[in-house]
Amino acid sequence: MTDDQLLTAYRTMCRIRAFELRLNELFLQGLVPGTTHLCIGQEACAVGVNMALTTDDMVFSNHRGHGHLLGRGGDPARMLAEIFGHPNGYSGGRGGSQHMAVKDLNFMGTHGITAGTIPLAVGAALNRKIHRQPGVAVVFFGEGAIGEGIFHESLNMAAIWKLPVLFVCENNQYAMSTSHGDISPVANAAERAAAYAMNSRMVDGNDVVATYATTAEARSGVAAGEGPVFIELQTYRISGHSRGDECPYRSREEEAQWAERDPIARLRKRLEDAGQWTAAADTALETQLAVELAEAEEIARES
Amino acid sequence: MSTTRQISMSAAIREALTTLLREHEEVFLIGEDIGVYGGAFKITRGIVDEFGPERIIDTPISEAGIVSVAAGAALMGSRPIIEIMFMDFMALAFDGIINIAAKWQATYGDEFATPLIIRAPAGGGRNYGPTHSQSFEGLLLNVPNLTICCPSNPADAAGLLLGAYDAATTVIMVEHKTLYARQGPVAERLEPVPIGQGARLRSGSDISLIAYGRHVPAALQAAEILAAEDVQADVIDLRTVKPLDASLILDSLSNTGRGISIEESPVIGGVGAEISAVVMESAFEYLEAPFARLGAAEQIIPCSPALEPACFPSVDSIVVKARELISY
Repeated sequence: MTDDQLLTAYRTMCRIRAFELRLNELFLQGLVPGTTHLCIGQEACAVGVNMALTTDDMVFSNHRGHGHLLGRGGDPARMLAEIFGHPNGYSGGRGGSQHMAVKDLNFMGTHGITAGTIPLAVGAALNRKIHRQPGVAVVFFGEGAIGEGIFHESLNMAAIWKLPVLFVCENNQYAMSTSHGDISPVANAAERAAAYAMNSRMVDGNDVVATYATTAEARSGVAAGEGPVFIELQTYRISGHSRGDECPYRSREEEAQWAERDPIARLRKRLEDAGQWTAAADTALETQLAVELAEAEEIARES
Repeated sequence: MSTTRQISMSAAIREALTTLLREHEEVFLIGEDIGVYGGAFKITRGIVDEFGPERIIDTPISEAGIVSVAAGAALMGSRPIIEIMFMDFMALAFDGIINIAAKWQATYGDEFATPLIIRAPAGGGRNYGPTHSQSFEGLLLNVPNLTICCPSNPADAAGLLLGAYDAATTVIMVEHKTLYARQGPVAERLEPVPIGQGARLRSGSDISLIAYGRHVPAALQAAEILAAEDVQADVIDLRTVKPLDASLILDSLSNTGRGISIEESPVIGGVGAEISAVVMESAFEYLEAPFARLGAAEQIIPCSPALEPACFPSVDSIVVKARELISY
């Protein structure tokens, strides 16, 4: 990543974090209907992957999709309007947090059924292949999605037809309350790809540089027709699964260990060490993001 | 009036599929063993020779994957036509049908349409037993945004496929497997049948026989028998069971005051239940007898030729029920 890209990545990750933290506050105040799934701690996955893609690429998300959409260039005002259930939301208020899509961004949808978008990405790639159009399909899913049969059907079809798909598994360690070790006989999600003769990569998903580099490298092979690639991003959901999750299934020690690997703090340190960033710049960014978000919130409320 | 020829329902469907593939490059067929083998019922036999394996796509045995992958392609502009080998296997694909195909456009907006045509050989009469004889139109009626067609003859089977393409929404095409060999007149140049329009096949003022699929020929035979007893039946072929042609049903009932629905799916919560509700809501004052339902029995569909027929409506059961209502 260039110096400029690193700064862009940092700002976008902070923008996602600020969005999620504010959303959480609004929830706690009872100002948001329904439920939501926050991606605090997973910002490097959304940003590292999105920055390695082109505008032709088609991005499919899941229930925990705010970061994916913001990373793709989504408008926070229209996202908040959707979450509030207002007409100017991306889905006219019909979908809420888990159902947003933006055609202009080739962002094909967050979705409420675990693993539900994995076959859609395969189908989008099939369409690209039949009509020889540019672009690859990228689908984000959690390690919990591997328990679904459709995950396996999708990987199998993508592999036998050599379709241009990037399967991006954000392994945030827990499917709601269930740890990956309790539901998987293999240690790493990426090992699943071997059953489909598919190339795979395992990356520190809290390192935006590594995530970006791996995605960019994998994407070029996928776009060249070499077949799909499976990327496992090792990360951690700092927030609970959804509203009301007090995380009784994991220890405070474990949370503290992962907090030390917070992707935003790590990138900030890297930038500061390289002389690209200062505490003053950070304060200024924080203020700027708060103002942006307050504006977005106002637009969303009035829409 | 255009000239017609006599062809089988299989041939008519094959011709409609070929027509759609020739006229629209975004159409492709996808399913299990539909290429060289031609599908379990040989409907697509020979089509791969003209269009090649890139547009006639043989898949692994993955019904869920087939439907959802096709929906993903549809999202990007393709118009997939899916074959589910037996409708029973569609149970494996309900997430793709219910949570994706029936919802994506309605949730995210018109730019996110996922129009699918899903063909499925369905129903009993062939002694295939409990998991190869079901017909899910009753079950699927309860899903908003789905269209469900159940043709009874070659011209409608082909015409509804063309109509489904024009409708550009998700359409389940329930093809009764005992009808594939049925011959019928088909126009030289296939004509689309609009979705949602039933057809009156015989006019009568004594009793309405409202059927679809394989029970349409049965209803027509029953009408012949009843005519010999001086009972004139009004025979309605629904052709599409969702949306129902309520105006045709009500027009018929308002003349006859008596009616029977005849369906392939189980009667509890089925097509006849819905028709009964429509009649109760809008034709109550015309009724001279309770509305009656005939359909699959509340049990598994047994394999044995000695047992299976009792599961389904027949010419005899239609006649018996009609006499009961006439003498009510």
